[in-house]
Amino acid sequence: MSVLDPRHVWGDFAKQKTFFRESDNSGADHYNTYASFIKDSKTDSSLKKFVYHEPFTFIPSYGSSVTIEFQNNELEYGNKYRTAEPALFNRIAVSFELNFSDRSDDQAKAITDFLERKQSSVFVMQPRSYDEVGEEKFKSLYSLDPYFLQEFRCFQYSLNEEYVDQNSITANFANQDFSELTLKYLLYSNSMSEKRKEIFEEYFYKDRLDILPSYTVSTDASFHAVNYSLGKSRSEFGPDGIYSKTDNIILNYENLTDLDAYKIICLVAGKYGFETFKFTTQKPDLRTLNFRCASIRHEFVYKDTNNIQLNLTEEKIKKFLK
Amino acid sequence: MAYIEYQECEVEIGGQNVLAKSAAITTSANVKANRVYGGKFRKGQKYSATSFPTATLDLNYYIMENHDHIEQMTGQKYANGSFCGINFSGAALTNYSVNIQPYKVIEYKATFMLYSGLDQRSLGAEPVEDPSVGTDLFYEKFANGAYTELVNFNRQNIGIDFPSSISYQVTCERIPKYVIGDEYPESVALGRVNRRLSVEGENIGSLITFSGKDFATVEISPRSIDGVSRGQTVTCDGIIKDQNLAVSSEGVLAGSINIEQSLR
Repeated sequence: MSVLDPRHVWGDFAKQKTFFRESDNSGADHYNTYASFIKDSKTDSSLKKFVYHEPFTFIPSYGSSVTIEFQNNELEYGNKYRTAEPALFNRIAVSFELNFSDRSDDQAKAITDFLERKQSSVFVMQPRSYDEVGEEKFKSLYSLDPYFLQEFRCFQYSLNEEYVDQNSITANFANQDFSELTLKYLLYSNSMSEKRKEIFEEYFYKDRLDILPSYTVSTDASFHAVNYSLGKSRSEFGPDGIYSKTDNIILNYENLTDLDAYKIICLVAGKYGFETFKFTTQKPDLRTLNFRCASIRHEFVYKDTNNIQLNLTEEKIKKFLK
Repeated sequence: MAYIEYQECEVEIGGQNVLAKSAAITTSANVKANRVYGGKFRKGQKYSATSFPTATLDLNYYIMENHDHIEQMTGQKYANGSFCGINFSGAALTNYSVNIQPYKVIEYKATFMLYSGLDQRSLGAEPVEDPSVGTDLFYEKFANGAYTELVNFNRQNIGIDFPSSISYQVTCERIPKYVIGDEYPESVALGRVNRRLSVEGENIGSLITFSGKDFATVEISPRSIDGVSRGQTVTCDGIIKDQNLAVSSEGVLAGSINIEQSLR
């Protein structure tokens, strides 16, 4: 059994990049090293060639989803002003909940064999290689459009044998490498289309969520109060600071096009879970408030049809660090 | 308004033509209106597809040859075809049935799911006139219920001596595999396949006691009025699933029996 030696942990992590072999990527038209590939592939305006060793090439089925979670510490200041701050450095967890529905015995075996071979080690998910994507080479950097994220670990999968030659697999692919410094490259590559770049530049830095969600919009308001009790008396409650109420809103966006989904993901991801953006609630409680969003859930419903769910928490004061 | 009249309804499927009594292609899109917060519709995207569209081809037809090629499509076989100026592909048979009644032309029905979309060739195309395919002229070519050979349809085997109508049906489960980014399925797998035979008749024997019991193979060999085979012999070898006895005032005792066979 191999165990990571804490004295050489970063060296051991580097050794796990077995999916990128320098011998497969020689020549001036390739990224020759993993360091060059991981850094330059997102910033080069013209993507060079790259070849992975044993990528996961199976395309998931509709109903699969992606969750981006920002790990925060909740802080409480005087007057009950509550806010969030980053809990860790690499604190942005990206999780793919993937369905592989109605797969033949051969394909189900190929998927499960791959996952068992990799177990918890890092592998890459690349449905279409550089040579398979045609003119739009940036698409070879996708695991799933619009995510330029290909390195994952898989800790569990489930196989359901539904009938002869008919199987369904669910698997969780996890990545926790992103921080505020790198999150941009989850959604951006300099070689992607100009239209996508324009959307990214507009929405990643935008401070107002102006794409309206679908019904139902749910708001939970919680009141903060202090309680007093003396001896055996019943409790008495009183106002607790000037920020005595917090609104939590769940926004569901149903059946968005790929581009609209990309806009919302860019806007929310660009706030890293602790910066705020404005959102205007409708009647009967018409207000424009500052919110932060600690998680994004994106479901692939059908071709060019996506659902997104955002969990917003009201912030009393605008937070914008840039 | 222009009308297109069809004397004969010829449908091409699987590379062969079928003389259909009626044929219909039905498509259905799964769409949803995008109403957004505030009551308006989403700008530039009032409707969205929420899952794949479905298309079916329904055929009612007669057999004029001694071989029905559609009956051979109950397995992993998919067909292309066309009718009324519309080309279709990826047609997978989901339901095939034969209905037999005394002294009537035996009618065949088939339902296909179309998994690869439609291509409108030329709506409004003139039908091809072929005077040699007159229904009356060729009546003797069709399979006829009066001359159809039935094997093991008796009181000892199924509890009915005189069947008044027989319906034979094969259902094939089709499982399309969709992956992210695709509008049409990447592949379609064959799932469960079942046969069902429904017999209505008179001179009922100890019918009700048969429920759940295996029975000997029954065979139906459709023939034309001149005794020539029309279509393949269809067989069913399963269990008696349910039975029914009914009588009405001034009527006769009649019964029905449903037999099922799981093939796959």
